Amino acid sequence: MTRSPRLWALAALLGACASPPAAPATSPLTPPPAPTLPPDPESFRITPPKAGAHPAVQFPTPSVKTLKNGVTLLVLRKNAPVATLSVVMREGAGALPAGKSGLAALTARMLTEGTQLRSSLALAEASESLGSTLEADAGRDASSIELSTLTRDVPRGLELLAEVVFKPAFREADFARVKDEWLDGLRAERQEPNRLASLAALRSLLGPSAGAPVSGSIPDVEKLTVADLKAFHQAHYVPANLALIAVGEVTLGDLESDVERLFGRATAGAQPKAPDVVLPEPPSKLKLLIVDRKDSVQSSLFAVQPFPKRSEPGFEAREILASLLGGLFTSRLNSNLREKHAYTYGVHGQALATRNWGAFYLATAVKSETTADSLRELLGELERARDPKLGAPINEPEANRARTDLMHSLGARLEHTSSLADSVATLFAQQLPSDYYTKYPALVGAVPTSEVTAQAARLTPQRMTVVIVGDRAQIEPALKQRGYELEAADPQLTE
Amino acid sequence: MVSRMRNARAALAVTLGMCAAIPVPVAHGKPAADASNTERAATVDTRATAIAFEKFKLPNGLTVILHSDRSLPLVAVNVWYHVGPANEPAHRSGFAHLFEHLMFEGSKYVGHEFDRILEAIGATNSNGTTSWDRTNYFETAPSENLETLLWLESDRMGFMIDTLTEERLDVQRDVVKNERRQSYENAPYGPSSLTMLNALFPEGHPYNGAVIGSMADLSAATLKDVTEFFRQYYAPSNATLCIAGDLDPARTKALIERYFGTLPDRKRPEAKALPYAPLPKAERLVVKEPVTLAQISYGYRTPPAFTADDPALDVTMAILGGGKATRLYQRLVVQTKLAADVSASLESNQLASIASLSATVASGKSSAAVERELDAVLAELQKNGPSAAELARAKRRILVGALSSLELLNGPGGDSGRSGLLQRFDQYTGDPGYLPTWLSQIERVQAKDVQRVIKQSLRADARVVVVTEPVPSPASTEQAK
Repeated sequence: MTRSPRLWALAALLGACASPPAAPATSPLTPPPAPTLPPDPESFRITPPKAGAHPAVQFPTPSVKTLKNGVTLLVLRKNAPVATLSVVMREGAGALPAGKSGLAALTARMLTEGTQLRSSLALAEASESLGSTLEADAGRDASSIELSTLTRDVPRGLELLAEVVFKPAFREADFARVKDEWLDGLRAERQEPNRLASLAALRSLLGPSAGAPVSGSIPDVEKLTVADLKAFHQAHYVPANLALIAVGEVTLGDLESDVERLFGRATAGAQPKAPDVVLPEPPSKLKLLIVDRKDSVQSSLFAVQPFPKRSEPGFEAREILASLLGGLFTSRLNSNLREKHAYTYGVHGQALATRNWGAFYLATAVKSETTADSLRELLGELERARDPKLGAPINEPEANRARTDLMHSLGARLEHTSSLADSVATLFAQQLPSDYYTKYPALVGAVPTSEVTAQAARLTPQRMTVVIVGDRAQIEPALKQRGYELEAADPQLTE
Repeated sequence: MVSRMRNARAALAVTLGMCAAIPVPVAHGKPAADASNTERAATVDTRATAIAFEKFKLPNGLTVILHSDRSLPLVAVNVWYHVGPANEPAHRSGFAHLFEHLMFEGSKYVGHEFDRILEAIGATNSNGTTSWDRTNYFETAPSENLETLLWLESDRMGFMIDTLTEERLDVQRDVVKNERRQSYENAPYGPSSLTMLNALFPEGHPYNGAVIGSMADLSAATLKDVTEFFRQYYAPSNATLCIAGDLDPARTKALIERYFGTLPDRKRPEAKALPYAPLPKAERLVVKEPVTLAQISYGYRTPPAFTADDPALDVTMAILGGGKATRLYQRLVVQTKLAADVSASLESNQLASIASLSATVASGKSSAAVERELDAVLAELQKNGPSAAELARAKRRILVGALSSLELLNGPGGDSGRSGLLQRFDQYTGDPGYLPTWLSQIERVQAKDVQRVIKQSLRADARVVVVTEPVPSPASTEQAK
């Protein structure tokens, strides 16, 4: 753990120069201060403590078993009173053809809305009497249903999950209700300026299919039918795509026979071929789209560009890069836009990396008057990170903070069964070796800063897609003055 | 609760309501009368859920709570100052929270690199948050760095004021104003939630002004205000230091003595006292916002944290919302389809807790119908009480939620997880180990208690109703063209 030498020099300097603490209980008889200050009894604080030996913290490797029909069982033992059970299916929105956005997420949700044996209400009552609501989730590359329960209720939890996954009801009446609720959820999401910016930017960059939100576009979801859900379920919720993940006071041996009985009988089906993903050509120059939102006191900015997908080498180096640019509190962007200029409450950036595509983005909400300045600073920081000749090459201390943060964020996940279950789900969905996270700290620690610099060369601030959601009349003059031309975002981008 | 960081995940805990809900050793588990469920309910986990701790005071008045658990090489430091918006001087709303931001600006011996130092040692869950009665600062780190955490926290406790400049005050003032814009002014239903808070706690109540404060008051804050606030409220005697995780008690005590022992003793400020009173009348407010879906929110002042009726209110809220098999969800979303979304939460505080019910009106449905249905659900629950199965489910959800929270050394807002729970209990009951008591109270709640607290505390003649009415947003009309 390297600390910035600059840092300690500064601390020492401040300590030496600052005035001593207020003298305790001054009396009128206290003599006037001597020309040389008395030694500061608190001066020991100037020297930062040294860390002790770093105890080995290791992410456990889950026990794995593949059932005969292809279902994977992944178990992590953890001393905890609550167990997390999760069924993960390794397809998500990335498996959807054009015009069917929202289908993966709605299918997962409908699995929790009743089975052939239980009504929607009876299912909710059953899971909540075990201690939690069945949580359906879908991403680009996976879908999941999760339940938290007391350890001794694990067998009942497994039964419930198997029933949900293999015997869903998909009742028309329930679907009609859930679809209306879902559509209102989409409408509610689109009230949020930050969300609007991300919706429009990803769709502009990746096209209407790959760029559609996982939760779906309003027109696509309006057209979905129970038949679509049944077909998606039948095609993708097949044994080879499924894993049962258990984290808690359980072992593979404890669960084996139950899981074999509940999950091992489903017949293996053929896995459908994933749709070909054709991404549009990225813009050849800065593309600046505006969603006009009158009287906004802030502008929401979402800047995005193509980046490598998950399987391309250099993933960990790109994680380090994204962290030092927009992940850490002291990231370049947050230090600039928040801590130096106070344009914003915060900036966040990330390298998205799915099975089919990747993208690097930065997102923030800035005071309206500072929109043009913020955009210039944002693009400027990317330019400086990209081109070491501009005087701010990626340096060792910031890369180290990013490495350290990535390693220890993983360590922090060890505390919580549900975070552990999420990590195990990633192993399965991305088909990573089961000891990937066990080796992750070494992997991240070994990425040389030169490799981070090489990944930074992929940044293309001059060809970014930027969506601004804000008050056009108020912000456009300053943007124009700086040479930024706005183009109205096509309403389809935010559908 | 308002927090300093950009990813204010902490806010989630508040919306969960019974959230920071607390564990339950239900050793004496009574068979709950859920017919399909009896055997399960009859034997509730008896694993020790009490958090082992040691509490003591330094001569300068600093309270210390230690919890040792060496199963992972992690340690959490969580410092609570017993000061919040309730203590703000007149016309300084938002000041306690602005002050919280300034605590990251540096201190005399450490310098100005607080966040860099934390990141370099692998600190996670590092943040500060402000709630009505307290302000907390916390971080989790690999345990070999405990001394660094204590060095950082003690320096800002003792010497934060020595290095603060007008310029840095201005920067953080603007950051906080941006936080206000982002979380309230420019956020859907943000203006409505400020309206709710101002009606719940009007001028003159210590909670008046919302935690975030007003723009005018934020603008008015001076460096002199900061100095006075620091001298008055950031004394060791007004703070509690909790350390939880992989620690050796003897060595940790020596470190505490070294870093906190010499901080000067200052008089502990008087605690704010105000007898609890429900709202004197009903109020109904309409807020027009550029949203597409209307919303109805009910807000009530309910009895203070951990007083007699507080557990029954926790259970009542879990019967009303937070799951799919709950009253509000079933009646408003599933059966009548009047609402797109419902929530029920209880935020327990020192002077008055806040119970909230809210429903987002489904497209094409009327908010008046939603309001009628909300009232009908409350009236029925009060008249007939919950079923035994409902009661058992609510308690079980609170139990499992709480046990999950206990897995963490510290939660995302510093008020859940083990150190957060120890602090919360200590703040509100004076006993960090209050957990089993609270848990048994939850377990003892009966149908008639639920009926009673609805009658006494969720009254139609003592509440604030805020109706958010959509106004066509210029953006949507323009795009529709």
